[in-house]
Amino acid sequence: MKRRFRPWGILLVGLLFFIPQDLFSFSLEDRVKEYTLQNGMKVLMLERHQSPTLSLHIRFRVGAVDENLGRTGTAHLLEHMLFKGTQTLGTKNYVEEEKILNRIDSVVMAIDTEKAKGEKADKDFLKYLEETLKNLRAEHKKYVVKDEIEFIYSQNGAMGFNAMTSQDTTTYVINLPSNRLELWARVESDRMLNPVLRDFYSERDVVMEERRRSIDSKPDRKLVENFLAVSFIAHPYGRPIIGWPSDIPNLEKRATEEFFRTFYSPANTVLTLVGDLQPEETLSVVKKYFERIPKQILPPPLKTREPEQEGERRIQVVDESNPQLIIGFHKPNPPHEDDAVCEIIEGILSSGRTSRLYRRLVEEEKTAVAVSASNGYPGERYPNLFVLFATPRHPHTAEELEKALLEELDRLKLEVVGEEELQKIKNQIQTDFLRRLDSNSRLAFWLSYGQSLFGDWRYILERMKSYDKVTVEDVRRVARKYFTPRNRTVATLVKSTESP
Amino acid sequence: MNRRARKVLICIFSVLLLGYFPPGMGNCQDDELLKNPREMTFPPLSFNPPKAERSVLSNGMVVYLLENPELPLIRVSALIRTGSVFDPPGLSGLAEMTARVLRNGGTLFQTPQTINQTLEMMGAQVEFSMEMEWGSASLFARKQDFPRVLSIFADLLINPGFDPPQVDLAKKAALEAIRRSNDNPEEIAYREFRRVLYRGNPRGEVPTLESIEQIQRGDLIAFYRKFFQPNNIFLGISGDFKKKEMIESLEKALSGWSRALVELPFIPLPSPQEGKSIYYASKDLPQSTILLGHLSLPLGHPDYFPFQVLNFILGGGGFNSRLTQEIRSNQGLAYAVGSFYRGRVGYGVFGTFCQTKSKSTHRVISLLYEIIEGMKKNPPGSEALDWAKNALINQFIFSFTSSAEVAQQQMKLEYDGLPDDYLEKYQERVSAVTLEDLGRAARDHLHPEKSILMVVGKGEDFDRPLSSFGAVQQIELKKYP
Repeated sequence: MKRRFRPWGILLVGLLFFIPQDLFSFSLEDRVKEYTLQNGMKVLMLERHQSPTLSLHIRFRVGAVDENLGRTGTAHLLEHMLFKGTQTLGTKNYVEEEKILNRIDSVVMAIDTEKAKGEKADKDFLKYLEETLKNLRAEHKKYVVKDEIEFIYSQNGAMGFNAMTSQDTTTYVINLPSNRLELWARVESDRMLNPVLRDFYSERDVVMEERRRSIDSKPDRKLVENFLAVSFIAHPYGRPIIGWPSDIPNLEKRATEEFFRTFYSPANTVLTLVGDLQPEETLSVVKKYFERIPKQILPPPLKTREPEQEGERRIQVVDESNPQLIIGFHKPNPPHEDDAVCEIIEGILSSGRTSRLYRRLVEEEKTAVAVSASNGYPGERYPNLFVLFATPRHPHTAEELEKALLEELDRLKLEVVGEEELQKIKNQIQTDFLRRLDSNSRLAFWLSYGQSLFGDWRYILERMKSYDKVTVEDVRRVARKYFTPRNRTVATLVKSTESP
Repeated sequence: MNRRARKVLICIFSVLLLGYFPPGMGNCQDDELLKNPREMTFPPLSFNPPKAERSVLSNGMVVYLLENPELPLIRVSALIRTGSVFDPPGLSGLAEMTARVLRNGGTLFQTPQTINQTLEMMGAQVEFSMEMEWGSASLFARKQDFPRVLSIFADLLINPGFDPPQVDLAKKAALEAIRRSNDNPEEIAYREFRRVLYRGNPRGEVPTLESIEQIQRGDLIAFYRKFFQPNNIFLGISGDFKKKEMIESLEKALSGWSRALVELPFIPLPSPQEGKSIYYASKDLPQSTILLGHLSLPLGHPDYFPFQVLNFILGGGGFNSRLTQEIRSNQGLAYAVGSFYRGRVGYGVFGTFCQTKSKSTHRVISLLYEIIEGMKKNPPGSEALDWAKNALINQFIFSFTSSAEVAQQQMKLEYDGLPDDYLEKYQERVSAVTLEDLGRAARDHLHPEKSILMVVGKGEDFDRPLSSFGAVQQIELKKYP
């Protein structure tokens, strides 16, 4: 299954961890080569010669959070569309194809306009339009080379050719044998310069199926979607990445193209290459292909901020499925120092079998089968949430778990965390960081993440240092500041009693 | 010790397939930076793939070692010749619970809490899990912590405590998982497919509230004793160590654990079904989950490689495979669609899957039948064959990107009884597949007429009734209060 996104993306945080310098020789500081192209595009390179392969990530600082109301799902649909080809890939003759594509767009617009009249729509006219569309599509098919980019990449040994859309960024990833660097540069620079959103309308149907699969058929995902929607009343973090079901089928091609032109600009782009490469040669290939992309001005950043929450919010989702509980609190995003404290609190509450919530709710009271804390939901470009998820064990209820979870948060406010407990979390964080350093794709992921979100890949190291500085007093202060009833949103999945 | 002096040079084929599609005729063809990627050539790639070294400890445990000093870390993975296939009748779920409590139940010398505290203080990990045809374990530690973590790992393997409260906890967790097992359509579809596919065979058993209630601590201990013996375990170790010292550490950590007679119970192979069957589980959903498949070739079958290639072209090879191209790209009927083939020891499983909105369910099922049938009537031509072979051959290099995977891979080959030149010969065997082989594989090994069709969804909303494909057997999904 391609192009999965993470609809409620298990946090991108919690994985990046600082390594004390004396621990080992793998110092990222010395090994990451950094370059800015003339058009403002950032290039990060890291040599690793474990195998003759490369992990190549292109991250754009644009995501669902950049969409306008009524057009939710645009960033994700655009991500799908960029796999459809360019003016030279995916077509037998673009000059001819373009004429038909334009006619298809006009007919689809006419159909939409007519359909919007509802009862008053001219049925005969609609029938005529639909017949015309059918013929145009048959005509269009003659010019199309389906999924040509994927065909070329796959026969060259590509692995994991995919893309991910989150609230904050959109990332195009591929792993190739290292002698295929130029192939990647050729195809990807073309995708950025000359994309053709062919088969736009059938791809909306594909995305609707993706939505049915990942949200509408999964009660726990519906719960998350509803939880986020009430947690954010002003900020776009409250909208689903995949888009509302009434928006997706109505997304327009022109507006999607406009979204592309606005946000896929060199200044918004980070190219990250990790693996079997020679930085100088690699850079010359990258420059040759990507530097020609014209410089562009970015739109002003979003001004909307979530207003302070004025009281507890509480919702239910009623479904055929067993109960679940989510509790969330608003909090600042990095680099605010309180974010690092929340990261440590996440560990204290739910990292491993010795964590407070596991010990108490799963092992001792046996009221839950699963419980976890997550800092930084649903993104990190803007102020976000600290979230608790819990799955009760029958016959115990979400209400019982809620009470216990809130007691545990109160403990953080009243008692001082033990130094040893704090140290344990810091150790786990550091070791986890190490554990994730021996993979080209994970390195590419994190380097591009730091660069794209915080303007400097080194931020992933800075962040590790900030975790290390957290004190037991910080934990108590932050717990008191954010885990208040007023700042709380509670969502429960309730099993429907009547049979469907 | 099995020394392999001969290192294999893996040549990454420089691939060019001219003529499959005519080259583009766009308006930018003169631009050198927009040259046809199909005409690009690449410098050859040569690579000596790392190879783990095989040793046998004095107690019979087989160990694969691969040194890699890049990071000060050590990873161990273990395979135990066991599996949930060995669950005794009426005790379905026992194997899985044994693995869980082996990890969580402490040892004769240490409480579960002490073990967890010690490991987590170091940020180290030890885990056990159970699959149908094998058990597995893993260890991760920083180099400096390795001796302590290894001693915990060994203590768990040799002297497990099966702490009664942890047994109780594992049972409660298993019961809750069953209560929740009808909440997710994919879980329902795969579980029910498996039950029908392996009907009359232990592989088709799934845990029930009753079978879990039956399981007692003594059953876990008996299961453990039967299978968890040193000569029934394989280890794959990679990371920052010296082989000789590692062997010494292992011998020391495992001293006193001696080889024992392991008598594996006889488990019959599943037998293919005679005709077509259609199953339907009703659930109020906007989208149907569809599986269509049958038993297939075992590992090592002469047609194993042709069938792999065939599956790639049919639905395993992404967007350019026939299923994805037609159902997703051309018709927009699905996000998730494709096929899978798993060759195992003695048998295999082949299937196609798709998820589509209720009102296109019948249409998609017809397409699945048609496209599988099409592989027989209209077997792939040389363009498709070349594409699939090039993809599989060129991807092969990625089997060597992680030392841990290299060690695991070799260990798994031995576990499955495959020849030890399997990896060296992989590219050669893929490249030897011919059009005749594909035609034969399609003819002999695809059986749409003897397939199991499993559909989970809301029948009232289907475009046409399932019964138009034949007699439908309804699966009642249990409702738990």
